[in-house]
Amino acid sequence: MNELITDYKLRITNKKYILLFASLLFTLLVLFIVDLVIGPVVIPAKEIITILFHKSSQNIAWINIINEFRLPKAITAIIAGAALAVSGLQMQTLFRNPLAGPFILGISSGAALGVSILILGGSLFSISAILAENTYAIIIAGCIGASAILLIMFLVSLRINNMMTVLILGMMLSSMINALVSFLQYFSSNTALKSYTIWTMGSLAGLDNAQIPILACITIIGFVIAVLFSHPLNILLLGEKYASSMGVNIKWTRIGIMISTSLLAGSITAFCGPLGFIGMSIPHVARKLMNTADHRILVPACILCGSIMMLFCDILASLPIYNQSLPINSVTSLIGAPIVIWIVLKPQKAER
Amino acid sequence: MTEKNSILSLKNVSIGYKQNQDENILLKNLSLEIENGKLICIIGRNGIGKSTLIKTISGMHKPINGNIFIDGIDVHLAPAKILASKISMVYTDKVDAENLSVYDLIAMGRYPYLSWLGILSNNDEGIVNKAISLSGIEKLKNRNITTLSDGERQKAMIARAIVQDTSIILLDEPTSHLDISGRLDVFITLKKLCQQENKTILLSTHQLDCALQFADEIWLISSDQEFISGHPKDAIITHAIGTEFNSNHLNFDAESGVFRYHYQI
Repeated sequence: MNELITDYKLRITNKKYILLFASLLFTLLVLFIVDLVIGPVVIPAKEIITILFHKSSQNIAWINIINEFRLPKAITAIIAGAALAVSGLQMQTLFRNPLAGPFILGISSGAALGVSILILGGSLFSISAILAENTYAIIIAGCIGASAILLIMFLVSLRINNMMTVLILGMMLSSMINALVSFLQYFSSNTALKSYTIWTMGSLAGLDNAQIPILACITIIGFVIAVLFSHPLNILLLGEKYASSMGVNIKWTRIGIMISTSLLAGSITAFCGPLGFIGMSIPHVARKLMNTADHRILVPACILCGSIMMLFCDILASLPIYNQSLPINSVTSLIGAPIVIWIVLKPQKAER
Repeated sequence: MTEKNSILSLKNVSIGYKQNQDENILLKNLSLEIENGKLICIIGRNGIGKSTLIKTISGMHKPINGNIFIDGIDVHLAPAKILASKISMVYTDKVDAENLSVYDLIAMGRYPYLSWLGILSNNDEGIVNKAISLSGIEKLKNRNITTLSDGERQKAMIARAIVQDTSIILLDEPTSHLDISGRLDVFITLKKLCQQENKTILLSTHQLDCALQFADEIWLISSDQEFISGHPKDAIITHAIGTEFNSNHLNFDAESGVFRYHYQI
């Protein structure tokens, strides 16, 4: 186990790696189909293929279910899983902390503040209840909240050199925002409270066919930045002191990674609500699976593993054994937290 | 014109820390010319400014005044990648990253020369393999760095600095965690680099015995913030080491270059 495959060129041409990536892709495809099959109404896989490729089916209702509901949900799951996993990977390397995740900079708290002001603040700030029910309004409120926090963290990290300090500031800011959200919850009506609670449980089903291209575009920009910074991220594994002695522009790398994470995790939280533990746990799965620290391998691996994990969670959440589908955030946490526990408990090779 | 082949020059440099109006100057008006292919050891007590001097020369820390030139380039004005092709660094800090192989760690030294995706050319691979054999760690090549001992890890970090292909290597207390044979290995490798590859090596250390045996030049920063430089055998250096470190319990023997301990329990 101590022998690692060295060098990027050898890795991308290595049979084991090609096989691994191929089997991940295959798993993704299978789970994608299963996700379309599973639901309150089970639609046979064969029918799904004909609906997807020939746009016809023996049951007209099934076409609607697939096109209007399950397909957007499955695509959202793929995008969300990939985006959260990549941003988690970036944060873990940037902060050199295995327990960092995409929300460490306060992104989800910021989005929660925006959404809670919209939903809960209705009575306080006389925002019309109609607006609070509108999905676009919720997405925009989430975006504004997340961007506001990110802007603060961004300005802070430009002035403060020590990333540990930035980390602590992010956590403290999140706590303060959560306190503000609690105030809003305390003063709000029962119905508003219920709809806010439902937002915090996350949902992959909230997006319609018009919103998915928007989300896809934002995340693709995030992925491109992640790929561009994957080589400097490798060097950052040695710490910022070594990285800057090797000519890595620490400031630009930090800015690039933070922009990428904001686009990825920020957009997902705004569109789908908070989705816990995927971003924290998947990078570890990818590292274990690929047995490398090379981000040029880990970024695509996280994209695949994250999508697979999110599809898997969505399938679990929408099994037809319940009356209605389970809240996705609880499922991702139930699946993701044990992975994090495994990371903490696994024997430390470095210690002798 | 009798200009020597100097690779590093310090012009009227004062080092220290500036915080708002407070200035804490550690060394004042230092002017030096350093020739190619020398092994220079910086010695002095803890907190006297050895690391600050190294950081300032490396361009990571701004001097209070003065300029530092490497190959005629001002280190505090040079773009990061240009500077990285002139100076490489080895720190005391233990580097730990999961699933990182020794080869990949060493190959990272090529960063200043690679395109954004960082794919090594055959030439780059040749340089990496040469550095691996220079530091005698062929057997460790495919090992995970978390499985290395401190000594092996420091050799890998030095190989990474060699790969960076710079004329100057700066090392900040590279031997501080190492046992006696590890220390010796590091000093032998560094000496080899000076003699065979004509590199200029500047390191801070508390291992006076090694420093006095291997260095071509000693820089001593004394407790009264004086900078004294010279060959390890120079009377001026041996005298300065004596005055700097001698106490009731410690006596530096200039003849043999070792310390004698006096104590009673």
